[in-house]
Amino acid sequence: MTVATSSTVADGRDAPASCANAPVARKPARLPRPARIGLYVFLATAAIAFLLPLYVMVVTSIKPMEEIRLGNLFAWPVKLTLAPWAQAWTSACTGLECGGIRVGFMNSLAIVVPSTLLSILLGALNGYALSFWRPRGAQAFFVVLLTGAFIPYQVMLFPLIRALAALGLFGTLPGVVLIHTVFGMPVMTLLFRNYYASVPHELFMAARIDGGGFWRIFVQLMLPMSLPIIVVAVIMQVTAIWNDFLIGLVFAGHDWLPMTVQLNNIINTTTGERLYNVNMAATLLTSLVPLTVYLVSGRWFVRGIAAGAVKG
Amino acid sequence: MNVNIQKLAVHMGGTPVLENLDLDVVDGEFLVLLGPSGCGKSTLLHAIAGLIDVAAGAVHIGGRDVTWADPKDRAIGMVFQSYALYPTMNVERNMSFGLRVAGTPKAEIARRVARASRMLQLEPLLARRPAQLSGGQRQRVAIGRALVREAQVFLFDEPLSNLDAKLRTELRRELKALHRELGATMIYVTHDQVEAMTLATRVAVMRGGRIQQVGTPGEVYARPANMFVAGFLGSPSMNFIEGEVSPGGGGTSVAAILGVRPEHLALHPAGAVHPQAEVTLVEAMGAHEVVWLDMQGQRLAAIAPATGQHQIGDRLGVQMDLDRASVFDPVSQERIDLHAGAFRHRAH
Repeated sequence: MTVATSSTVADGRDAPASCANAPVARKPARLPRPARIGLYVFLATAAIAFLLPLYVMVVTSIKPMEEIRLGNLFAWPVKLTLAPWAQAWTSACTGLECGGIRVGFMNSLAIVVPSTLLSILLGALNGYALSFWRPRGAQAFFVVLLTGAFIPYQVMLFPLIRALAALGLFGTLPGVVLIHTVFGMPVMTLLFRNYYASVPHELFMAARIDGGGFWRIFVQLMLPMSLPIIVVAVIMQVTAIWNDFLIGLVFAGHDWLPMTVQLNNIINTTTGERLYNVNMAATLLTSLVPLTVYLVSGRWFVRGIAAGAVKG
Repeated sequence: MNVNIQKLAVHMGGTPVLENLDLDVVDGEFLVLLGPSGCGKSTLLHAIAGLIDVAAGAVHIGGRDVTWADPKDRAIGMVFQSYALYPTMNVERNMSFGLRVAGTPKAEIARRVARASRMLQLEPLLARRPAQLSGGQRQRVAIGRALVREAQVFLFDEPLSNLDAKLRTELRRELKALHRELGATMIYVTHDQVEAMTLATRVAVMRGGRIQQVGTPGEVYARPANMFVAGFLGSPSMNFIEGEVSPGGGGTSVAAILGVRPEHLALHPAGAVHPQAEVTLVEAMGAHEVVWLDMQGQRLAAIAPATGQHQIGDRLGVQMDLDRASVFDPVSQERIDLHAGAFRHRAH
């Protein structure tokens, strides 16, 4: 748009002769034909590579077993059925229990909601304190926190198990939530610290003169201003915690296994014939939450990232 | 309320920004802190507001020691260059935020907001968000926020710098009227000499964390304490001519610098008794013109009526109004209290 406008202005003016040959912003030259065709072929191939597995999964999940046994992986189902979805949800077996994947769904929900809320609240609080109050040693604290983000989980696993066991939280819901919250801290703090760094410091000073204290400025001024970045944080945390396998497997204990772990158990449990359609349906059900989050909030996600990148 | 600053020192990241600074602001005064960027004037204002920690010294407001008091307990209101309005609140809530924090009764809040918005013509805008306001309106809201607090001391940190020239002049007049109406003490930071001259009852010129001179705009302009103050005020700035003076009248003479404002140079046709100079450039300013001259290698600026008769290359006689000139020590650059009549141009 800018290009078009500026060139119109330049053309419309009575430019002196000496300026007639001055460089005017022009449309970028189009790629030559063969190169363009090659580009589209590449893009189409990439799209197929990503979409084909999804197609196979969807198609398989709505076929009865008789059709799957024929081995036509890509064939459209002759007889459409939603029975595998119902079975996956309510009665698929993990080991000896046959309660379907909905148990895991509920567990995952119970883990994701408090973990997301807590980690975002604490991350925002950290970022706020680091950006505006700058306590002594804030910089060192931030460096240590960020270093934590680069240490692989496996290194911390054993000490954390011992620590949680000592606290009596090992294998409980609060235990998993605590671990997720702690592991979310570096990235959440970084996210909010950078967002608040773009907020003019004078705004904070004005609030101080108006008598705002630590909590009031945070709750009444900074949090309402943080909506775009909160949306980004929610998307990051919900997808990351929902997709987590390791922490859920290790810390949740038998009663609070998340959906991902349960999905793995369902697929590995075979009584006679392997129920491909049920497995596919269970997998699709598990991925439904992150998928929905992206679809619903994609617009917000882009807006939040752009807001953070340009200015607050 | 008067503001009294004693032996103030402020350090930032280990380096001293202000050191051993004394300043007295009288009740009801409009004091302008004037200086180039980085001279510590904003830092001084922040120290008065309590937004930064001081390393040494004391700040008294209204006779009370507030050196370590919270900003909200200093009876101050502050207006910032970037307006610093709360973006998620409308104008009315922006102005009342401080009162709501303090738990002021609703009726009292309504009364004060109504009064401030009437004074600043903000009544039609009360429901708007800051993003829906123009720059001038935003700054008026920011002033309203200080008004609503019924601040005894108003602190302004370059409040007009983000506005365009026309709005700046307008708001400058409004500020002056507001000061007369309220009679409150105002401390105003700026690097703009026009704002300083027009608004101030007294100007404090700062450089490198030190106050160079405090006085009425007229005093500071007419009798600058040193060459920095002399050069910082006035446009074009003061002409400096090297020479010497004989303090005893006759006897031994010492090197000195004569400072003459461009408007105190009178131009005469060549041939008169005055020193001769050649016109190098003429800048038309509408009401008057600035004539740049070369006097034996010395560049001079003179302000003359806009007659359009001066041409580049003309030779003119330059007459200096020595009664209104200043004499400076070339080493210390400080003012020497001598009549400029004792001055002799080096070339003579």
